[in-house]
Amino acid sequence: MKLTCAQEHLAKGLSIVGRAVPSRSPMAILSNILLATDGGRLKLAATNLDIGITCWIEAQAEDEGAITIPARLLQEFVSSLPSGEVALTLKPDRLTAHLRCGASEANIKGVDAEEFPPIPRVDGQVTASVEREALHTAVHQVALAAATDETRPVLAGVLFRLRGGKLTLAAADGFRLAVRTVEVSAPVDTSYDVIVPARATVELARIVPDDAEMIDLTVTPNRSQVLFHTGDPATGRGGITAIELVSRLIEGTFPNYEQIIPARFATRVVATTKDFQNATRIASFFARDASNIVRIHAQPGEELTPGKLIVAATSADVGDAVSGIDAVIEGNDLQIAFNAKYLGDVLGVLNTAQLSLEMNTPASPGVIRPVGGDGYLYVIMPMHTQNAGR
Amino acid sequence: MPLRVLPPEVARLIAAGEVVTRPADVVKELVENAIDAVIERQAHDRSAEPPAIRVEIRSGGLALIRVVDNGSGIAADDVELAFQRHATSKVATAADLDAIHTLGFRGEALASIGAVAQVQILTRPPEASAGVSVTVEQGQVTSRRQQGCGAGTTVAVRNIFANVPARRKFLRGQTSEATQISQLVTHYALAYPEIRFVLVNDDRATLQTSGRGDLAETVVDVLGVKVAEQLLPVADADAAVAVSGYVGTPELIRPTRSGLTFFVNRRIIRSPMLGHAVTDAYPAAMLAGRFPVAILNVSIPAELVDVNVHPTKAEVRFASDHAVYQLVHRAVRMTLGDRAPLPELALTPPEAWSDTPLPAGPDQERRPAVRSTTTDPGAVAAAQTLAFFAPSASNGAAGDATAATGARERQRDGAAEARPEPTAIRLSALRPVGQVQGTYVVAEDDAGVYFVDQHAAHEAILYQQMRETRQCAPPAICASQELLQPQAIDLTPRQAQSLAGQGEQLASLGFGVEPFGERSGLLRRVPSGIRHRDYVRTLLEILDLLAAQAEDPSATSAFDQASARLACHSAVRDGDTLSLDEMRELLAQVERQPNLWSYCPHGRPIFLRLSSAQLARDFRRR
Ligand SMILES: Nc1ncnc2c1ncn2[C@@H]1O[C@H](COP(=O)(O)OP(=O)(O)OP(=O)(O)O)[C@@H](O)[C@H]1O
Ligand SMILES: [Mg+2]
Ligand SMILES: [Zn+2]
Repeated sequence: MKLTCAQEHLAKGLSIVGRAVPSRSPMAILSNILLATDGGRLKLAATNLDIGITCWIEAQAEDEGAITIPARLLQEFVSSLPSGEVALTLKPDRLTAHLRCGASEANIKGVDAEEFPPIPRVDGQVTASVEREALHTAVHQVALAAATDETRPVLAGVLFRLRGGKLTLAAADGFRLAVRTVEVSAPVDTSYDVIVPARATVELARIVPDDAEMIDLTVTPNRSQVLFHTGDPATGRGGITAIELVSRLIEGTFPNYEQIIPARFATRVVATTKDFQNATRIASFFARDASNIVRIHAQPGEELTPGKLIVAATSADVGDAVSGIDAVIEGNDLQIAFNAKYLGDVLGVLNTAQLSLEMNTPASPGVIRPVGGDGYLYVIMPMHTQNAGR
Repeated sequence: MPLRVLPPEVARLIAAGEVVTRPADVVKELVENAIDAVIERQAHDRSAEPPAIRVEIRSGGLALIRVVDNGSGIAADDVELAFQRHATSKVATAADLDAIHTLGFRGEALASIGAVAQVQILTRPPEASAGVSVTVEQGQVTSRRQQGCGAGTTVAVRNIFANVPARRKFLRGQTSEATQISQLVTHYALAYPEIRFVLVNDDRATLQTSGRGDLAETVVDVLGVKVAEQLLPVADADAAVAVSGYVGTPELIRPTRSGLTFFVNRRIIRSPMLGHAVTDAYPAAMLAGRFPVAILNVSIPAELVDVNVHPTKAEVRFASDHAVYQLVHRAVRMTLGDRAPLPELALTPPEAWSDTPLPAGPDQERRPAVRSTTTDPGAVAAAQTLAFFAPSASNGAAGDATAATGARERQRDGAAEARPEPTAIRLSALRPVGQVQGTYVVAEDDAGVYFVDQHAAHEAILYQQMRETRQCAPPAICASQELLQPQAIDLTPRQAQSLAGQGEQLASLGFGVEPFGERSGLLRRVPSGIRHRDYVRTLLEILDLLAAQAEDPSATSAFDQASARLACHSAVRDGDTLSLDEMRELLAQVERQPNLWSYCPHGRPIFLRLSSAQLARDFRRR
């Protein structure tokens, strides 16, 4: 194995695949990164057995070969090098990598590439191509509603529903639901429901570079793995020619979320996203000791006075806080309580200046949507408390 | 029947009946006499041989009770007098009764025993050259002769209740009597660590203490290392009254009150008030109707306690029950809050873990007296007032986690003299360092390193919050969170029944659940704090608890236990990764809970400390 590549490209590639390296694993080999020549490029790969990330970077390969090297040491070494050409060769024992760049060189002991667990291959037709930007936003807005524990495995995932040329992402942890639909370009005439672990979607959003254009989805015929692919070997930019993330899929049926979304409302609030977010943040400091309850009072305006949205929290130990923000309020006066975290989560990912909050009664769900935005909605279940304190 | 004065032998029996009803009563009287005698001798002659008392019984005391002491003895001419009623050397005037410093004061015991048994007494005061042996049967002297013997007194009691068959019939059997006796001697051995006690039961030595005056060592001697490891030292004093001894950790729980032993001025007594003072100091949910273990002595000026209120001196009357309750209760709480048994690694829990908010500074006088070996003048004064339980406790017990480590450590390094008194710690001022094993938060300040069990700490906070919110009306233990979709849950018939009857209780715990068919329920809302979403399991557990209470209303509060379950399921878990901010918040919350236990509802300690001094010592930097 003998090749050269740019230090920046190598460093970037290592930081991408490094996301799949488990911080603790009983299998020592998983803390290594696989480096292999692949058709004139350098392939980097890492896996934690739940997900695998592969990344190809531009390289001039003279000799084919492969090795695995401890991820942490390699990353630290490469990122400290000056920019320039990195020359990588294998020592005759084929288990030590020799790296040279500028005035620095290093020998790093590795492990035979044969021992690296194969990242599952996902062959088959691309089922959907989605704009990177759209998928990135959708993942951000949806994955936060997934459950963080494994009590009900399907809830720890994000539903990817491909239907009629649209891809819908949905996640629900039992107390809230987030749904976002994105357009699929070059729709293929197929439909499916698959559940991708929320963690995999978050990693995906993190590793795909801003300048990537499209992300292709491929699902294995047996619905056990999904492949996200971006980039094109021919037109790779920034030295990264392609990135792939393979994830196992969660078995099971996602709850029928559509029936949860209320069809009508008795009170509708339209408020400035920023104002609502600030008010919620302030309340959350006081809610911490009090079951995280934020109380909301939607007061419709009179002819001459605007409507008010009161956001408040009270802690028996700490104190209380109230913010009143101007809002357009249609319908009934309504008081309701929400979990500060669930509210704060959605307010942090809305990307429109205004939002709407639709409600019916203090015991029924609230629905938050971006105003003038796209196909996003967030259903949040209320809380109850007999006494104002905790 | 015509009215008449009873003949003396009948009057004697009636009087005796008040003092001795069973062999253990005889042992109690004889041991108390022996204690008075050895202490009297020591008071006059510091160079006398070390005080020792040997108790020997056969057949549960029915065949023989023999108590041997090396005390002051009885002058040959006074022996017969000692068997007369109201004959005592311990009290002379009515005024003396107001300040009794001896265990005996009535002059009743020997007379009563002599009325119901054959008593042989062999005694010699240290200064006399020969001893005398006198035998009394049914109140009459039947023999008297000179006899050589060691200084001190031996009293042998045989044929107990031979002339009172009715009484003999009511005895509970030899084993039971022997157990009573053994317990009694054990208790006195604990009260007097400076006296060497030996108990021989049917020729087997069943109890033996060193008499070296070290309470911790005595505790190990009589109760064994196992139990001793779970005993925490108690010591506290106010201006007049002091309390000291040991209480069990919350793990050491007994089904009966038998583990509660109290002394007042080292006299063994019964006291429901003291029982409450101790029991109330433990979280009810932890005890769940059972009882902790305590061996406590209340040291109180003789004029503030009346010991002359009960025929067998088994009860006393305090000038102020309230004051004594307060002191004992506070002392026990402080101990439970203060330390956990933690012999390993010499980690000790924080000192200033208190039942009141922590103001800086004047926490000092609340510091247990025995551990304040150095600077604290208030406590030193208190230690002197205490001058009782464990003469040497004040030069070694400082900071000992348990009786067992106390004894062990004392052997190792004699005096832990220079151990610095830690000052009140402010938890919020601790710097969280990180998390270890996904389970413990590690924090530090200049005085040491602290390990906080994250689950236990959080659980204790939540449980405490719930206990407080229960006072509200209606009690809203937990806010509740609506589920996106109602969830059907399967129930056992028992659970279904308790669901039908206990909707209100469930609601105040935060569960919104309604019957749904015969064997299932529909869950609509859950307590807001529940983490990890195992709310179904929690609900089922709580339904079981409520069902158990419905079946047995005398059971301890199922509601309290349900809160504890809920706290457990709502708390962070082992393995949950915490950010530094979360750790800081946890510590701050612990501090904000003024009544927090340093034990979680499971009874495990939540907080341990490794002092800087200890670290330095173990690294041999000092
Ligand atoms: N073991 C002993 N050593 C020395 N003196 C003893 C001993 N036992 C009894 N006496 C003497 O005999 C007296 C009578 O004892 P007795 O136990 O009957 O009465 P008491 O101890 O004075 O009062 P109480 O009835 O409250 O026990 C005591 O006051 C004491 O002088
Ligand atoms: Mg007596
Ligand atoms: Zn627990």
